[in-house]
Amino acid sequence: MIWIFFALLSGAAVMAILTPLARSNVARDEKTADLAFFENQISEINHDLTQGRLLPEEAETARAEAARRLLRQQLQPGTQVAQSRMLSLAAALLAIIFIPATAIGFYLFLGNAKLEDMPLAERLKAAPNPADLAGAVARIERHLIEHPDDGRGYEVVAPYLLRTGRGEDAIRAYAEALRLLGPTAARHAALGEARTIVAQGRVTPLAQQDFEAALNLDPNFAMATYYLGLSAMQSGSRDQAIEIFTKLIAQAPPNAPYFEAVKSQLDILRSGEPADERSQAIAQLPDQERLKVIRQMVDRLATRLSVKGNDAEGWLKLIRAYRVLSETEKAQQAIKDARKAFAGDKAALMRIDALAKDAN
Amino acid sequence: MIVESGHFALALALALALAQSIIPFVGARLNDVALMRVARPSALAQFLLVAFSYSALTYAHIVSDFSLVNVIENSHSMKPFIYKISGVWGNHEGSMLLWVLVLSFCGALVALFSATMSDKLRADALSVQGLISAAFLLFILLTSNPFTRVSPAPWEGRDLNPILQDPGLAIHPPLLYLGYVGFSIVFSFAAAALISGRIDAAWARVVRPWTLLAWIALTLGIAMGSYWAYYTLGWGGFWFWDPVENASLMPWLAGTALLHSAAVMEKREALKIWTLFLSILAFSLSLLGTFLVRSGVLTSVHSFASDPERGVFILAILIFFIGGALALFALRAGALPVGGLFAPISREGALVINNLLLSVICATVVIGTLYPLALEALTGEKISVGAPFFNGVLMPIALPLALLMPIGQMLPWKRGDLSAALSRLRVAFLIGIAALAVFLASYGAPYLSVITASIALYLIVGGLSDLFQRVTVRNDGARATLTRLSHVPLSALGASIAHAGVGLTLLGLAATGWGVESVIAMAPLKAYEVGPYQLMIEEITPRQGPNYSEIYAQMTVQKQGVTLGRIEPAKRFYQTRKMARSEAGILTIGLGQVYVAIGESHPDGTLDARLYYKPLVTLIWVGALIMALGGACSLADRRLRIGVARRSIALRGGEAPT
Repeated sequence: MIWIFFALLSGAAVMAILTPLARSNVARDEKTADLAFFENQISEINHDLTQGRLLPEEAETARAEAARRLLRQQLQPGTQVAQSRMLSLAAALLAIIFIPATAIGFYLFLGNAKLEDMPLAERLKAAPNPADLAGAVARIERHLIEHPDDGRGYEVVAPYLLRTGRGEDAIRAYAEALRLLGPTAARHAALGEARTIVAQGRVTPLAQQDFEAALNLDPNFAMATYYLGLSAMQSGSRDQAIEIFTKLIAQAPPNAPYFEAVKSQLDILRSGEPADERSQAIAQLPDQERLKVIRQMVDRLATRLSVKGNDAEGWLKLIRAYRVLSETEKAQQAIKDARKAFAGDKAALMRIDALAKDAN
Repeated sequence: MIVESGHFALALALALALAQSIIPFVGARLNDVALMRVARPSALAQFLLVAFSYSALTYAHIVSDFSLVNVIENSHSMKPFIYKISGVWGNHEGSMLLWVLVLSFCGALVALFSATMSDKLRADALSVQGLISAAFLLFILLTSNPFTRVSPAPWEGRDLNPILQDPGLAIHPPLLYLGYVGFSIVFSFAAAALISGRIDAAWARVVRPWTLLAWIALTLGIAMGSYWAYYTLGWGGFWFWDPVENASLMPWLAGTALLHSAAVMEKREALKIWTLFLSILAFSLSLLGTFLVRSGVLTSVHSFASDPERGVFILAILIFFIGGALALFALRAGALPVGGLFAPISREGALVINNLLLSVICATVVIGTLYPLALEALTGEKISVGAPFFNGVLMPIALPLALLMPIGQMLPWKRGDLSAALSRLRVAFLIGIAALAVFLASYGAPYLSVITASIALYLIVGGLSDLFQRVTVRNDGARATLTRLSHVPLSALGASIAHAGVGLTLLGLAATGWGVESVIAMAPLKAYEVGPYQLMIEEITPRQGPNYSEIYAQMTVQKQGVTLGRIEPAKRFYQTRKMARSEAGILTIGLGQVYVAIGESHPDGTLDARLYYKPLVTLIWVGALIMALGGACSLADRRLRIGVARRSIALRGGEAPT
């Protein structure tokens, strides 16, 4: 179908060239053009004279000047212009072959004849493909622009936005969900967590308020408690952090997913090194020791990601870490795993691919 | 279907442009009329194809077809509709396509309105034009293809650079391109004249509207760009002597000289070599500008693309066309028949001086622009050549040029009387000297401003003197005066208006020396002095736009307790690109402006702000508009003109042909 249109277009283009070649043309050579110009000029001067824009003697000078110029032009050797059937035929043949061939050659090299137009509105209307998470989110986002009071919509897209690096949008979505659907401990905590992630793991004062609000509604909400502990740790209140984490572990069910993470934090705190001096301490270790500690940290990250894979930042960190440690194979494996974890998530995949490309 | 058809049409346009450059050219050499006639329909068809292709790209932008890389990278589904359209050329690929669209449009116009031309001239000019088209179409298809697609398509685009989300984008680039491309037509005709060895008044007549059109468009485009930079970049200036700005100024300077030479060429058949040389120069400098902006040699708002491959390609185009034209010029220019003769003191003589001075200014700008780039490439040393250099070197050339402008207007063709011309300008001289005294007394320093402003006033009065004297030559009542005014040739009227426009711009530029600037942290509800006015922030509020959020300050501008107006300078943040841009708050009072750009706000409630009072600043752009109006007047003059020497009686009579 599209090729028929291309053929028609090419045909029209060739026809444009063939028309003058097929006709018999009367040439307008230079002398004719000059003469016509001169005649126009003279009539213009006469017109100006009758309009009173020129004095009679000026008109006379102007006419003389124009005549002198014409004479000069006419004295130049002119050439006979004609029309040759042979030349026209050759040019026509060349056009018929050369024009479609060039156009089609370039197009085959550059074009994508099989790709249809994809206006966004139509794609959104089309039946959703269950594997296409990004498409689903785009639909919901569009729906939310028209129905900004649909709290459920915000709640559904928020985690996705957070994962794909659109942190600010995620915070807004969580906040809207909270406002529209009413406060629960989970909603407050999710908003706080989003704020913390956007702040690169730092529990900001706003996030702190969110976690406190969550605990007000449900004093046993473990995630909020954990982040408040983290906040205490970041602000240097070591004893308070130990207290919070100890309580959290004591209350935790034995198979709680956060059990290990909290315990390791607690161990670090109890070992007496203030958290923010930890990295400094590692830096001061002898080479072998330092590498060991770093490897342990990387392994911990890998373990965490193998359980809870939907953390794009974590994966990127892991890939970079493997690369720094020159563990190329592990890095490649991590890229593969990360791609698997984010299959269908375009934005995250793009970031992973960008990082993967850096390696080569 | 539409998108791919647009892509195919572009490839077909390339094939047609190649045919257009070969067949008529061969025809002109073999004196075959049928082959020469191919130029016309192929130029028209080429335009239709490029227009179709361009519409297809616009369609893809409007419907947010994110299967095109160009749409992904420069659009967003939520972008306001107008920026979906102007965004088509708000990026490298799309703007190159617009370039070629304007190019083929002008080619089509030449094809349509060339009935008076000889077949040979049309064939040669259109085949050169076809070659330029082909070069740029090839460039687009191979290095900057706007129809590159991805599958599967993402669901959202990355939005247009916020600085470009402005009505300025809808006006500034198309005007500049019309200017550059207009010069390409003149270039094609110059090449045709050199190839055939024929250049005469008829040639100048054909070229004249294109020179004027290109010059008008470029004048407006540069003025628009400078005003856009002024209100949106928030630094209070309007011209930075940035290489990219200079890139548009260089062809303008060459074009201004060309405009005057072409007029001499048409009326007197003199200055042939100048005209041809300037035709080549104007387009060459347009190409140089394109190269500087597109090659990645520079980084600025304008360099959408920094890709060495593109740079090399444009450099090749540049060398081919400039080198080819200059070689042709060197070979053929000497053999051209001699034109009309003239005495040193005459209109022609004055215009030769004009050409020389404008060429020197142009060369200065070229050197000032290229030298730092060359130095950095050779030694890695970064130097900045800015306002001090350009003002210091250009002013001593530009001011004498301004002094000469009205004198040149007063001189008749062929041979003139300098003292008569000077005596007709005595009013202008008196006003200039009076202005000098008044400005010195009231402002004192800076002296450059005082001198420039006085010369500007002399220029305005002097530019209009010729017109005034023509009309009031006899004291015979208002009716007769009006009749004479209606009989003044439009081109003479245009010259007077355009020269007065130059004077206005110069006055606006001079007045920048008398402006006031202060950078402070403003507390709300407290009045701050700037020049004769007081500024006060009433409230600082956030606001949500369609694809940005902003913080804006509501300010009042007062003079002695009377509120003159309100302004709302704002700082916008664009989420998708994570970019901020400022929106200056500007209040025009008379011809001057109060200008405020805001920066960071502090926890104590104060707001960083730059406050300016700029007297007469609007004249810079008003002057440019008036220059363009003068150009338009001249463009509307459809007469076939011939310049003759005025006799002394006619001189007093003042009614000379122009």
